[in-house]
Amino acid sequence: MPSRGAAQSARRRLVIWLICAGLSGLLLAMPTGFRSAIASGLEWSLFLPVRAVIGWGGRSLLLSVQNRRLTRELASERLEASRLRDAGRENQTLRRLLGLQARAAFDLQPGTVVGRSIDWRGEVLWVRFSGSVQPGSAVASPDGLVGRLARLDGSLGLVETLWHTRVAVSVRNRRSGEQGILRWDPSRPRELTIADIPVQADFRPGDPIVTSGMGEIFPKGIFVGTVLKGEDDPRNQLKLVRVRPLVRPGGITELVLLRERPPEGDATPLYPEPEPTAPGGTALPGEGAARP
Amino acid sequence: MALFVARLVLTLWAVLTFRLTLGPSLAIAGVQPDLAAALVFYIALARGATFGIIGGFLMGLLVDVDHPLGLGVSSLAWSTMSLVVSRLSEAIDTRDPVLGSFLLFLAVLLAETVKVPFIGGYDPSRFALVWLRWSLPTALYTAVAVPLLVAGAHAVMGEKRWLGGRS
Repeated sequence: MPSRGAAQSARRRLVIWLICAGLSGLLLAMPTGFRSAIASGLEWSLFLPVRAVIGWGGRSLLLSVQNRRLTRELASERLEASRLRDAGRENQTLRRLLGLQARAAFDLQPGTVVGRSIDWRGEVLWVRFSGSVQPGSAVASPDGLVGRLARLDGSLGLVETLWHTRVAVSVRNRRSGEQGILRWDPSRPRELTIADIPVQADFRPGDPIVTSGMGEIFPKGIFVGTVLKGEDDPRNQLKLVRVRPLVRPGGITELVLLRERPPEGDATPLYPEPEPTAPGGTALPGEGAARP
Repeated sequence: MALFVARLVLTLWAVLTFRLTLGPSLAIAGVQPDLAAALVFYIALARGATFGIIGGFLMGLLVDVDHPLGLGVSSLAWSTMSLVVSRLSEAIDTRDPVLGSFLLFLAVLLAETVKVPFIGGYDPSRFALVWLRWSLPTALYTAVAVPLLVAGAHAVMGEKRWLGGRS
């Protein structure tokens, strides 16, 4: 039989735990705005000493050391960029002289990945862009779509990747024209999922998946991945399609921010989009050719 | 007490620095050892339930401040973990490295399990998959890596009880 002191001690720690759990639950029940405000308040009050000595996220001591090194690299990159701008201007002059027109549909803003971390909803990248950028733009690598620029912290941009539960992309099957919303399911970390599509929707293994252009973030026609397989969704009478992304989560070092540009002059696309085929049709020529 | 606080601050600094720098490099298939949870575990072992629960709550807030959307998740998980650890440590000889590692595994698994509903987006169909994919490997990795790290630190510094303790 436990002694009276032990029972009191057990009761006391239970009460302390209940208070802590209650406070945590209260925080979790609050709207997102309140939570952000409280987090910011804690950061600048209770945890100010930690912030001052260690810092976190983009403001950490270690990252500031790294930032200084990157600043030096940035200076040399800027020099290189100015050389490239000169070459670009020369190229434009020559194009005008030769009567050629611009065909690219996007303005590209290059960026370098300086950090990678996993927050509690998925993978994010810290990216340094070489010019002014706007949050909410799509971000891609030479292989395909990477995610979107969620916010800016000084000169660094926080990119929420496709492996983040807050990112949803309206996509289209380039072969069949079927559309859906692509998301990341944390239970299948290496794949992306198009859920809630009709069972008769035409998705076959190997089909290229591109952005549909719906919504205001992701421009049309950027490659996202290829279909792995379709399967019945156990939660309802609809279908799930598993997509293998073209971009590898850990292997992204260089990125571009995409800003849609209105067509100028003869805006004939360099790689014309093929017409969708009817179900059962054969693959069209030019599949997989267009890249951002 | 002053020595304990100094050591705690130093360890906290090391743990938070690890999360930012070495942690992502040591990740295996996206899973990395949770040193912050392990620190809360050792505080609960060394200083008892009250210190552990409050320490876990504050440490959770400190970690969650960086991701305001999940503010409260780690505090809930780690304060719960401290309560259970302090209770279990009364029945288990934590000086035994194998039993200590096993208790660490159970503790981190419990904390990760508490987090599952929030990570899985409140979708019950995902809970088992998220638990198997993230919670279990994180607990295993932590239970293997942290005792090795602690043993290494002891060997280098010749210090048997870095954060003090009742053992």
